[in-house]
Amino acid sequence: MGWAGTVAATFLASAVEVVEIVTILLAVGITRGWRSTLAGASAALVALTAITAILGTALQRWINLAALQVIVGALLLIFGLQWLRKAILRASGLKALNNEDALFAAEGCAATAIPLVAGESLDWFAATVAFKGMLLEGLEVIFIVMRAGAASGRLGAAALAAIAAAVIVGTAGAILHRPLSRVPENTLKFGVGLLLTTFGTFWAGEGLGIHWLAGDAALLWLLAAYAAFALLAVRQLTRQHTLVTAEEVA
Amino acid sequence: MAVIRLLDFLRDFIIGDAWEIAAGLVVTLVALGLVAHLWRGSEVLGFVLVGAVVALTGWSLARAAR
Repeated sequence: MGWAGTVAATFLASAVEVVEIVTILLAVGITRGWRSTLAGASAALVALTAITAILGTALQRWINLAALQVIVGALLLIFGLQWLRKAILRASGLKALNNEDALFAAEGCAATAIPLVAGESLDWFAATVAFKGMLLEGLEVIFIVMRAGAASGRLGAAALAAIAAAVIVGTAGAILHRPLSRVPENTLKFGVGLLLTTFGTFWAGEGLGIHWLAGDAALLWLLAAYAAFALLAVRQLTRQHTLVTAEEVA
Repeated sequence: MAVIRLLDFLRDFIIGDAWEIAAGLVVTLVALGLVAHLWRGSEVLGFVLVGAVVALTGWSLARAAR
């Protein structure tokens, strides 16, 4: 592979992974707040830097990406389905809007004995999801750089291409954050639930050795399938709820 | 006491109020992992995973709506 080929291949492959990171950070940051999301992402960045500095190119031998994908995917899937389930129940009128945040904050603060950042509560959900997303995808970017760099003997060029992809996609994400923050809260949570469920399914499946139809583009049909299911569920539950309410009134 | 509170927090944090989803997913992933080990390269298992996720969520929603 020549210099241009190394740069182009690394840039494109890294950009796909960075889009996934930015999507998760945007989704969690807008719905749960930026402080905890960025704290989780920063912690993952520190962990990635430390792991890479200590292990160097031996990283690929020491870290089992498939096992990491299964663990992170399963947890994201569980978190995503919790959110999606609540958003469906709220959208269909079976659960009051907005009561979950207060409940989560109250329970989170009361139950945890972990020291909090600067005396204030840290949103563990946001921090954990951001940390896991950043760590997993960041490792994939590092592996891409190492593979392309080792194959062509141009590790520096491959690293620069990945950094360029991160800067460009990250800037696009920062620009998108403002219009997205105007979307109604339950709609956003519905979307975040769908995204986490989609990424969780994809990563867990990849880790288990499942071959997805259409490869990485499977993320798109997974998202469409889950969205169709969620909208059908809202429709069905709304109808059921309306019938029950009408019977009670009668 | 702090350990119990921490475990309670983790249980609430990871499992939430829909234990059936968490338990069902763990069982599904373990089973699919075993099958995927024997049946490498099949795209059918992806559809099985999606079907299981949809079925579990549908069941959990039906329980909540009761």
